[in-house]
Amino acid sequence: MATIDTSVSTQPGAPVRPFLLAENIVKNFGQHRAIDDVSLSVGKGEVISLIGPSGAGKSTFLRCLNLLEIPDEGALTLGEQRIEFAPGRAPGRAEMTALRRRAGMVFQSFNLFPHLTAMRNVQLAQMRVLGRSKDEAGERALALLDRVGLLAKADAYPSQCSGGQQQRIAIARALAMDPELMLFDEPTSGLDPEVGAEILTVMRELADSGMTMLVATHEMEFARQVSDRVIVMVDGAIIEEGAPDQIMSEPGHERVRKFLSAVLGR
Amino acid sequence: MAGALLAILEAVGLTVLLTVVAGVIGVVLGAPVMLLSRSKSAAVRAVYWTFVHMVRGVPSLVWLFIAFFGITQIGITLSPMASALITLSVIAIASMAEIYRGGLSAIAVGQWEASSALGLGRWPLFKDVLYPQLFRAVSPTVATYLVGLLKESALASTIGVAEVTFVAGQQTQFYGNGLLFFAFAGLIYLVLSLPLGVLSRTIHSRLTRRYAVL
Repeated sequence: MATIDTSVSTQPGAPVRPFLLAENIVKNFGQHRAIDDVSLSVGKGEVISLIGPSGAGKSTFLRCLNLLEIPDEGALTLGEQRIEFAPGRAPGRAEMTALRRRAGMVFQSFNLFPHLTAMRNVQLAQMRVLGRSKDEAGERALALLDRVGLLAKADAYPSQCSGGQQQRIAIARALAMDPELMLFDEPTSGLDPEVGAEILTVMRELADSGMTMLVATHEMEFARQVSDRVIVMVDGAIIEEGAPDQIMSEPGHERVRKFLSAVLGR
Repeated sequence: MAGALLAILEAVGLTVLLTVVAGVIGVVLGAPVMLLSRSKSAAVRAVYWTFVHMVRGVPSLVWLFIAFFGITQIGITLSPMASALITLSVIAIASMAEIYRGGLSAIAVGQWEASSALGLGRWPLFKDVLYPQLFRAVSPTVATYLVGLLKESALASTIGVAEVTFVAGQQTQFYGNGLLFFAFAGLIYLVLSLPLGVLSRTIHSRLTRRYAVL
Protein backbone atom coordinates (compact mmCIF):
# COMPACT_ATOMS: atom_id res chain seq x y z
CA MET A 1 0.00 0.00 0.00
CA ALA A 2 1.37 3.37 -0.96
CA THR A 3 2.28 5.60 1.91
CA ILE A 4 3.92 8.92 2.28
CA ASP A 5 7.48 9.07 1.07
CA THR A 6 9.74 9.27 4.07
CA SER A 7 12.98 8.66 2.24
CA VAL A 8 13.88 12.31 1.81
CA SER A 9 15.30 14.12 4.77
CA THR A 10 15.56 17.83 4.40
CA GLN A 11 17.74 20.04 6.48
CA PRO A 12 16.60 23.62 6.81
CA GLY A 13 18.55 25.76 4.42
CA ALA A 14 20.15 22.79 2.68
CA PRO A 15 20.07 23.02 -1.11
CA VAL A 16 17.22 20.87 -2.36
CA ARG A 17 16.17 19.83 -5.82
CA PRO A 18 13.15 21.98 -6.71
CA PHE A 19 10.12 19.72 -6.62
CA LEU A 20 7.58 22.47 -7.04
CA LEU A 21 8.54 25.48 -9.06
CA ALA A 22 6.27 28.47 -9.51
CA GLU A 23 7.66 31.00 -11.97
CA ASN A 24 6.41 34.56 -12.28
CA ILE A 25 2.81 33.70 -11.41
CA VAL A 26 0.32 36.48 -12.11
CA LYS A 27 -3.38 36.30 -11.29
CA ASN A 28 -5.85 39.10 -11.91
CA PHE A 29 -9.42 39.37 -10.75
CA GLY A 30 -10.80 41.92 -13.17
CA GLN A 31 -8.71 45.07 -12.64
CA HIS A 32 -7.31 43.81 -9.36
CA ARG A 33 -3.93 42.09 -9.47
CA ALA A 34 -4.25 39.43 -6.75
CA ILE A 35 -0.92 37.72 -7.40
CA ASP A 36 1.85 39.89 -8.73
CA ASP A 37 4.76 38.06 -10.32
CA VAL A 38 5.35 35.49 -7.59
CA SER A 39 8.09 32.89 -7.97
CA LEU A 40 8.82 30.14 -5.51
CA SER A 41 10.92 27.03 -5.51
CA VAL A 42 10.10 24.24 -3.09
CA GLY A 43 12.22 21.18 -2.41
CA LYS A 44 10.80 17.73 -1.81
CA GLY A 45 9.87 17.30 1.83
CA GLU A 46 10.10 21.00 2.53
CA VAL A 47 7.51 22.63 4.79
CA ILE A 48 6.76 26.24 3.99
CA SER A 49 4.55 28.62 5.93
CA LEU A 50 2.92 31.46 4.05
CA ILE A 51 2.13 34.32 6.36
CA GLY A 52 0.90 37.84 5.85
CA PRO A 53 -2.15 40.00 6.45
CA SER A 54 -5.60 38.98 5.24
CA GLY A 55 -6.07 39.79 1.58
CA ALA A 56 -2.34 39.50 0.87
CA GLY A 57 -2.97 36.73 -1.65
CA LYS A 58 -1.88 33.68 0.37
CA SER A 59 -5.05 31.72 -0.41
CA THR A 60 -5.11 32.80 -4.02
CA PHE A 61 -1.50 31.74 -4.46
CA LEU A 62 -2.18 28.30 -2.96
CA ARG A 63 -5.25 27.98 -5.16
CA CYS A 64 -3.11 28.80 -8.19
CA LEU A 65 -0.82 25.91 -7.28
CA ASN A 66 -3.57 23.31 -7.71
CA LEU A 67 -5.36 25.29 -10.42
CA LEU A 68 -8.52 26.11 -8.49
CA GLU A 69 -7.54 29.50 -9.85
CA ILE A 70 -5.94 29.48 -13.26
CA PRO A 71 -2.99 31.90 -13.29
CA ASP A 72 -3.00 34.49 -16.08
CA GLU A 73 0.76 34.34 -16.56
CA GLY A 74 3.74 32.32 -15.45
CA ALA A 75 4.53 28.64 -15.27
CA LEU A 76 4.13 25.84 -12.78
CA THR A 77 6.30 22.74 -12.51
CA LEU A 78 5.46 19.87 -10.19
CA GLY A 79 7.89 16.98 -10.48
CA GLU A 80 8.00 16.22 -14.19
CA GLN A 81 4.85 18.09 -15.10
CA ARG A 82 5.11 21.64 -16.38
CA ILE A 83 2.20 23.94 -17.25
CA GLU A 84 2.61 27.38 -18.80
CA PHE A 85 -0.06 30.02 -18.49
CA ALA A 86 -1.11 32.83 -20.76
CA PRO A 87 -4.19 35.09 -20.63
CA GLY A 88 -7.25 33.39 -22.08
CA ARG A 89 -5.56 30.01 -22.32
CA ALA A 90 -6.76 27.47 -19.78
CA PRO A 91 -4.86 24.20 -19.37
CA GLY A 92 -6.63 21.09 -20.62
CA ARG A 93 -8.80 19.05 -18.31
CA ALA A 94 -6.49 16.05 -18.26
CA GLU A 95 -3.53 18.29 -17.47
CA MET A 96 -5.41 19.92 -14.59
CA THR A 97 -6.59 16.62 -13.14
CA ALA A 98 -3.10 15.16 -13.37
CA LEU A 99 -1.72 18.07 -11.36
CA ARG A 100 -4.55 18.20 -8.86
CA ARG A 101 -4.40 14.56 -7.91
CA ARG A 102 -0.78 15.05 -6.91
CA ALA A 103 -1.51 18.17 -4.86
CA GLY A 104 -3.89 17.63 -1.96
CA MET A 105 -5.72 20.62 -0.53
CA VAL A 106 -7.22 21.33 2.87
CA PHE A 107 -9.62 24.25 3.12
CA GLN A 108 -10.43 26.67 5.88
CA SER A 109 -14.08 25.64 5.70
CA PHE A 110 -13.34 21.87 5.52
CA ASN A 111 -15.74 21.36 2.59
CA LEU A 112 -16.56 17.78 3.50
CA PHE A 113 -19.40 16.16 1.58
CA PRO A 114 -22.29 16.50 4.08
CA HIS A 115 -24.31 13.59 2.70
CA LEU A 116 -21.50 11.06 3.12
CA THR A 117 -20.06 9.47 6.25
CA ALA A 118 -16.48 10.22 7.23
CA MET A 119 -15.41 6.92 5.72
CA ARG A 120 -17.25 7.56 2.42
CA ASN A 121 -15.79 11.06 2.27
CA VAL A 122 -12.31 9.54 2.35
CA GLN A 123 -13.27 6.65 0.04
CA LEU A 124 -15.04 8.46 -2.78
CA ALA A 125 -12.26 10.07 -4.81
CA GLN A 126 -10.00 7.04 -4.34
CA MET A 127 -12.59 4.98 -6.19
CA ARG A 128 -13.60 7.56 -8.78
CA VAL A 129 -10.23 9.11 -9.55
CA LEU A 130 -7.64 6.47 -8.69
CA GLY A 131 -9.85 3.54 -9.66
CA ARG A 132 -9.36 1.68 -6.40
CA SER A 133 -11.86 -0.98 -5.44
CA LYS A 134 -14.38 -0.22 -2.72
CA ASP A 135 -12.62 -2.56 -0.31
CA GLU A 136 -9.19 -1.19 -1.04
CA ALA A 137 -10.41 2.41 -0.71
CA GLY A 138 -12.25 1.49 2.48
CA GLU A 139 -9.17 -0.08 4.01
CA ARG A 140 -7.10 2.97 3.17
CA ALA A 141 -9.85 5.26 4.52
CA LEU A 142 -9.92 3.45 7.84
CA ALA A 143 -6.13 3.52 8.10
CA LEU A 144 -6.10 7.27 7.49
CA LEU A 145 -8.99 7.99 9.84
CA ASP A 146 -7.05 6.01 12.43
CA ARG A 147 -3.97 8.06 11.69
CA VAL A 148 -5.84 11.34 12.37
CA GLY A 149 -7.37 9.77 15.49
CA LEU A 150 -10.90 9.41 14.20
CA LEU A 151 -11.42 5.72 13.58
CA ALA A 152 -14.39 5.85 15.94
CA LYS A 153 -16.06 8.45 13.72
CA ALA A 154 -15.83 6.42 10.51
CA ASP A 155 -19.60 6.00 10.27
CA ALA A 156 -20.48 9.50 11.46
CA TYR A 157 -21.75 12.22 9.13
CA PRO A 158 -19.86 15.53 9.10
CA SER A 159 -22.72 17.22 10.95
CA GLN A 160 -22.15 14.78 13.80
CA CYS A 161 -18.49 15.81 14.10
CA SER A 162 -16.93 18.89 15.66
CA GLY A 163 -15.13 21.43 13.49
CA GLY A 164 -11.75 20.04 14.49
CA GLN A 165 -12.85 16.51 13.69
CA GLN A 166 -14.21 17.62 10.33
CA GLN A 167 -10.91 19.22 9.46
CA ARG A 168 -9.03 16.04 10.40
CA ILE A 169 -11.38 14.03 8.19
CA ALA A 170 -10.68 16.53 5.41
CA ILE A 171 -6.95 15.96 5.87
CA ALA A 172 -7.49 12.19 5.70
CA ARG A 173 -9.56 12.70 2.54
CA ALA A 174 -6.76 14.64 0.88
CA LEU A 175 -4.09 12.14 2.00
CA ALA A 176 -6.09 9.24 0.60
CA MET A 177 -5.15 10.40 -2.88
CA ASP A 178 -1.47 9.82 -2.05
CA PRO A 179 -0.54 13.41 -2.88
CA GLU A 180 3.07 14.41 -3.29
CA LEU A 181 2.31 17.90 -2.06
CA MET A 182 -0.19 19.16 0.51
CA LEU A 183 -1.63 22.66 0.44
CA PHE A 184 -3.25 23.96 3.61
CA ASP A 185 -5.38 27.07 3.29
CA GLU A 186 -5.65 28.49 6.81
CA PRO A 187 -6.74 25.12 8.17
CA THR A 188 -7.22 26.33 11.75
CA SER A 189 -8.69 29.78 11.16
CA GLY A 190 -12.29 28.70 11.63
CA LEU A 191 -11.58 26.84 14.86
CA ASP A 192 -11.12 27.52 18.55
CA PRO A 193 -7.45 27.64 19.52
CA GLU A 194 -7.49 24.38 21.47
CA VAL A 195 -9.25 22.65 18.58
CA GLY A 196 -6.78 24.19 16.18
CA ALA A 197 -4.04 22.54 18.22
CA GLU A 198 -5.44 19.09 17.25
CA ILE A 199 -5.08 20.00 13.61
CA LEU A 200 -1.60 21.37 14.07
CA THR A 201 -0.54 18.14 15.77
CA VAL A 202 -1.73 16.14 12.76
CA MET A 203 0.07 18.54 10.43
CA ARG A 204 3.25 18.35 12.45
CA GLU A 205 3.22 14.55 12.20
CA LEU A 206 2.65 14.85 8.48
CA ALA A 207 5.60 17.23 8.17
CA ASP A 208 7.76 14.83 10.20
CA SER A 209 6.85 12.02 7.81
CA GLY A 210 8.46 13.93 4.95
CA MET A 211 5.43 15.41 3.19
CA THR A 212 6.03 18.52 1.12
CA MET A 213 3.70 21.13 2.56
CA LEU A 214 2.66 24.71 1.88
CA VAL A 215 0.64 26.19 4.69
CA ALA A 216 -1.14 29.54 4.64
CA THR A 217 -1.48 30.31 8.31
CA HIS A 218 -1.80 32.83 11.09
CA GLU A 219 -0.33 30.32 13.55
CA MET A 220 3.07 31.85 14.20
CA GLU A 221 4.13 29.10 16.60
CA PHE A 222 3.44 26.48 13.96
CA ALA A 223 5.32 28.55 11.40
CA ARG A 224 8.24 28.89 13.75
CA GLN A 225 8.43 25.31 15.02
CA VAL A 226 7.42 23.20 12.06
CA SER A 227 8.30 25.01 8.88
CA ASP A 228 11.65 24.97 7.16
CA ARG A 229 10.99 28.32 5.56
CA VAL A 230 8.62 31.20 6.13
CA ILE A 231 7.35 33.32 3.28
CA VAL A 232 5.72 36.68 3.89
CA MET A 233 3.20 37.89 1.35
CA VAL A 234 1.81 41.42 1.16
CA ASP A 235 -0.33 42.85 -1.65
CA GLY A 236 0.00 39.77 -3.80
CA ALA A 237 3.79 39.64 -3.69
CA ILE A 238 6.44 37.86 -1.64
CA ILE A 239 8.25 40.57 0.26
CA GLU A 240 10.41 38.45 2.50
CA GLU A 241 11.42 34.84 2.96
CA GLY A 242 13.83 32.95 5.11
CA ALA A 243 14.29 30.61 8.04
CA PRO A 244 11.48 30.98 10.60
CA ASP A 245 13.67 32.30 13.40
CA GLN A 246 15.31 34.82 11.18
CA ILE A 247 11.99 36.18 9.91
CA MET A 248 10.38 36.20 13.33
CA SER A 249 13.21 37.77 15.25
CA GLU A 250 14.83 40.09 12.73
CA PRO A 251 12.45 40.88 9.89
CA GLY A 252 14.10 43.07 7.30
CA HIS A 253 11.04 44.71 5.91
CA GLU A 254 9.05 47.38 7.72
CA ARG A 255 5.70 45.87 6.62
CA VAL A 256 6.77 42.50 7.97
CA ARG A 257 7.82 44.03 11.28
CA LYS A 258 4.43 45.71 11.60
CA PHE A 259 2.55 42.57 10.68
CA LEU A 260 4.52 40.42 13.11
CA SER A 261 4.14 42.80 16.00
CA ALA A 262 0.39 42.84 15.32
CA VAL A 263 0.00 39.05 15.28
CA LEU A 264 2.56 38.20 17.93
CA GLY A 265 1.39 40.94 20.24
CA ARG A 266 -2.09 39.48 20.37
CA MET B 1 -75.27 4.56 -9.96
CA ALA B 2 -72.74 2.31 -8.26
CA GLY B 3 -71.67 1.25 -11.73
CA ALA B 4 -70.95 4.88 -12.62
CA LEU B 5 -68.79 5.36 -9.52
CA LEU B 6 -66.99 2.13 -10.28
CA ALA B 7 -66.31 3.37 -13.82
CA ILE B 8 -64.78 6.55 -12.41
CA LEU B 9 -62.69 4.50 -9.99
CA GLU B 10 -61.45 2.32 -12.82
CA ALA B 11 -60.18 5.42 -14.59
CA VAL B 12 -57.67 5.95 -11.75
CA GLY B 13 -55.26 3.71 -13.64
CA LEU B 14 -54.87 6.20 -16.50
CA THR B 15 -54.62 9.18 -14.14
CA VAL B 16 -51.87 7.45 -12.21
CA LEU B 17 -50.15 6.33 -15.41
CA LEU B 18 -50.08 9.90 -16.78
CA THR B 19 -48.76 11.30 -13.51
CA VAL B 20 -46.17 8.62 -12.87
CA VAL B 21 -44.78 8.52 -16.40
CA ALA B 22 -44.55 12.31 -16.75
CA GLY B 23 -43.26 12.61 -13.17
CA VAL B 24 -40.52 10.03 -13.58
CA ILE B 25 -39.44 11.45 -16.93
CA GLY B 26 -39.34 14.94 -15.41
CA VAL B 27 -37.42 13.88 -12.32
CA VAL B 28 -34.87 11.90 -14.31
CA LEU B 29 -34.39 14.08 -17.40
CA GLY B 30 -34.84 17.41 -15.61
CA ALA B 31 -31.41 16.99 -14.03
CA PRO B 32 -29.30 16.68 -17.20
CA VAL B 33 -31.43 19.34 -18.91
CA MET B 34 -30.74 21.71 -15.99
CA LEU B 35 -27.02 21.20 -16.62
CA LEU B 36 -27.48 22.99 -19.96
CA SER B 37 -28.16 26.18 -17.97
CA ARG B 38 -24.63 25.89 -16.53
CA SER B 39 -22.89 25.32 -19.83
CA LYS B 40 -19.88 27.44 -20.72
CA SER B 41 -21.39 27.97 -24.16
CA ALA B 42 -23.78 30.91 -24.39
CA ALA B 43 -25.59 29.19 -27.25
CA VAL B 44 -26.32 26.13 -25.12
CA ARG B 45 -27.55 28.33 -22.28
CA ALA B 46 -29.80 30.17 -24.74
CA VAL B 47 -31.29 26.84 -25.82
CA TYR B 48 -32.06 26.08 -22.18
CA TRP B 49 -33.72 29.41 -21.48
CA THR B 50 -35.73 29.31 -24.69
CA PHE B 51 -36.94 25.81 -23.88
CA VAL B 52 -37.89 26.65 -20.29
CA HIS B 53 -39.62 29.91 -21.13
CA MET B 54 -41.53 28.49 -24.04
CA VAL B 55 -42.72 25.46 -22.10
CA ARG B 56 -43.63 27.32 -18.96
CA GLY B 57 -44.83 30.56 -20.50
CA VAL B 58 -47.59 28.93 -22.52
CA PRO B 59 -50.59 27.33 -20.77
CA SER B 60 -50.30 23.55 -20.53
CA LEU B 61 -53.70 23.24 -22.20
CA VAL B 62 -52.45 25.13 -25.25
CA TRP B 63 -49.45 22.81 -25.55
CA LEU B 64 -51.75 19.84 -25.21
CA PHE B 65 -53.95 21.13 -28.04
CA ILE B 66 -50.90 21.81 -30.18
CA ALA B 67 -49.66 18.26 -29.56
CA PHE B 68 -53.05 16.76 -30.37
CA PHE B 69 -54.87 19.02 -32.84
CA GLY B 70 -51.96 21.09 -34.10
CA ILE B 71 -49.40 18.67 -35.34
CA THR B 72 -51.81 16.52 -37.33
CA GLN B 73 -51.66 19.37 -39.84
CA ILE B 74 -48.01 18.62 -40.45
CA GLY B 75 -48.76 14.96 -40.89
CA ILE B 76 -48.08 13.65 -37.38
CA THR B 77 -51.08 12.08 -35.73
CA LEU B 78 -50.80 11.00 -32.15
CA SER B 79 -53.34 9.19 -30.03
CA PRO B 80 -54.89 11.27 -27.21
CA MET B 81 -52.90 9.26 -24.64
CA ALA B 82 -49.60 9.75 -26.52
CA SER B 83 -50.26 13.49 -26.90
CA ALA B 84 -51.04 13.84 -23.21
CA LEU B 85 -48.01 11.79 -22.12
CA ILE B 86 -45.62 13.73 -24.34
CA THR B 87 -47.02 17.14 -23.35
CA LEU B 88 -47.04 16.46 -19.62
CA SER B 89 -43.57 14.90 -19.77
CA VAL B 90 -42.01 17.84 -21.59
CA ILE B 91 -43.64 20.27 -19.16
CA ALA B 92 -42.38 18.14 -16.26
CA ILE B 93 -38.84 18.19 -17.66
CA ALA B 94 -38.84 22.00 -17.85
CA SER B 95 -40.39 22.40 -14.41
CA MET B 96 -38.06 19.91 -12.74
CA ALA B 97 -35.03 21.49 -14.46
CA GLU B 98 -35.98 24.81 -12.90
CA ILE B 99 -36.49 23.21 -9.49
CA TYR B 100 -33.08 21.54 -9.73
CA ARG B 101 -31.48 24.79 -10.86
CA GLY B 102 -32.78 26.52 -7.76
CA GLY B 103 -31.58 23.67 -5.54
CA LEU B 104 -28.13 23.66 -7.09
CA SER B 105 -27.59 27.33 -6.32
CA ALA B 106 -28.16 26.45 -2.64
CA ILE B 107 -25.20 24.04 -2.58
CA ALA B 108 -22.06 25.64 -1.18
CA VAL B 109 -19.33 26.56 -3.65
CA GLY B 110 -16.88 24.67 -1.42
CA GLN B 111 -18.39 21.41 -2.63
CA TRP B 112 -17.25 22.15 -6.18
CA GLU B 113 -13.84 23.27 -4.97
CA ALA B 114 -13.28 20.22 -2.80
CA SER B 115 -14.32 17.98 -5.70
CA SER B 116 -12.00 19.76 -8.12
CA ALA B 117 -9.13 19.61 -5.66
CA LEU B 118 -9.65 15.84 -5.39
CA GLY B 119 -9.62 15.58 -9.17
CA LEU B 120 -13.20 14.30 -9.46
CA GLY B 121 -14.46 14.45 -13.03
CA ARG B 122 -17.73 16.01 -14.08
CA TRP B 123 -19.81 12.86 -13.89
CA PRO B 124 -18.75 11.74 -10.38
CA LEU B 125 -19.04 15.37 -9.25
CA PHE B 126 -22.63 15.39 -10.40
CA LYS B 127 -23.61 11.85 -9.47
CA ASP B 128 -21.81 11.41 -6.15
CA VAL B 129 -21.56 14.94 -4.77
CA LEU B 130 -24.15 17.29 -6.21
CA TYR B 131 -27.15 15.13 -7.06
CA PRO B 132 -27.58 13.55 -3.61
CA GLN B 133 -27.43 16.98 -1.99
CA LEU B 134 -29.71 18.41 -4.61
CA PHE B 135 -32.20 15.63 -4.06
CA ARG B 136 -32.30 16.41 -0.38
CA ALA B 137 -32.66 20.14 -0.93
CA VAL B 138 -35.45 19.90 -3.48
CA SER B 139 -37.46 16.90 -2.27
CA PRO B 140 -40.28 18.98 -0.65
CA THR B 141 -40.55 21.18 -3.75
CA VAL B 142 -40.62 18.13 -5.98
CA ALA B 143 -43.43 16.56 -3.95
CA THR B 144 -45.47 19.75 -4.25
CA TYR B 145 -44.81 19.80 -7.97
CA LEU B 146 -45.86 16.15 -8.37
CA VAL B 147 -49.18 16.90 -6.64
CA GLY B 148 -49.61 19.73 -9.15
CA LEU B 149 -48.79 17.33 -11.98
CA LEU B 150 -51.39 14.87 -10.70
CA LYS B 151 -54.02 17.60 -10.90
CA GLU B 152 -52.76 18.76 -14.27
CA SER B 153 -53.27 15.27 -15.67
CA ALA B 154 -56.99 16.15 -15.68
CA LEU B 155 -56.26 18.33 -18.72
CA ALA B 156 -55.96 15.13 -20.73
CA SER B 157 -59.73 14.76 -20.40
CA THR B 158 -60.15 17.62 -22.87
CA ILE B 159 -58.70 15.56 -25.70
CA GLY B 160 -60.55 12.41 -24.75
CA VAL B 161 -58.14 10.46 -22.53
CA ALA B 162 -60.43 8.37 -20.35
CA GLU B 163 -58.88 9.33 -17.03
CA VAL B 164 -60.80 10.20 -13.85
CA THR B 165 -62.12 13.63 -14.84
CA PHE B 166 -63.08 12.46 -18.31
CA VAL B 167 -65.05 9.50 -17.02
CA ALA B 168 -66.73 11.63 -14.33
CA GLY B 169 -67.87 13.99 -17.10
CA GLN B 170 -69.03 11.08 -19.21
CA GLN B 171 -71.10 9.63 -16.36
CA THR B 172 -72.57 13.07 -15.63
CA GLN B 173 -73.72 13.45 -19.22
CA PHE B 174 -75.29 10.04 -19.00
CA TYR B 175 -76.88 10.08 -15.55
CA GLY B 176 -76.88 13.73 -14.51
CA ASN B 177 -75.87 13.99 -10.84
CA GLY B 178 -72.66 15.93 -11.60
CA LEU B 179 -72.25 16.93 -7.98
CA LEU B 180 -71.79 13.36 -6.85
CA PHE B 181 -69.58 12.29 -9.73
CA PHE B 182 -67.25 15.27 -9.69
CA ALA B 183 -67.08 15.28 -5.89
CA PHE B 184 -66.09 11.63 -6.13
CA ALA B 185 -63.46 12.51 -8.74
CA GLY B 186 -62.18 15.26 -6.42
CA LEU B 187 -61.96 12.78 -3.57
CA ILE B 188 -59.91 10.45 -5.74
CA TYR B 189 -57.37 13.21 -6.51
CA LEU B 190 -57.24 14.08 -2.82
CA VAL B 191 -56.58 10.49 -1.82
CA LEU B 192 -53.96 10.05 -4.55
CA SER B 193 -52.11 13.18 -3.45
CA LEU B 194 -51.97 12.18 0.21
CA PRO B 195 -49.18 9.61 -0.06
CA LEU B 196 -47.05 12.09 -2.01
CA GLY B 197 -47.30 14.63 0.77
CA VAL B 198 -46.63 12.10 3.49
CA LEU B 199 -43.74 10.58 1.55
CA SER B 200 -42.16 13.96 1.02
CA ARG B 201 -42.39 14.91 4.68
CA THR B 202 -40.97 11.56 5.76
CA ILE B 203 -38.08 11.66 3.32
CA HIS B 204 -37.26 15.23 4.15
CA SER B 205 -37.34 14.82 7.91
CA ARG B 206 -35.27 11.63 7.72
CA LEU B 207 -32.68 13.26 5.51
CA THR B 208 -32.62 16.38 7.64
CA ARG B 209 -32.20 14.40 10.84
CA ARG B 210 -29.41 12.38 9.37
CA TYR B 211 -27.36 15.21 7.94
CA ALA B 212 -28.63 18.00 10.17
CA VAL B 213 -28.05 20.56 7.47
CA LEU B 214 -30.37 22.57 5.23
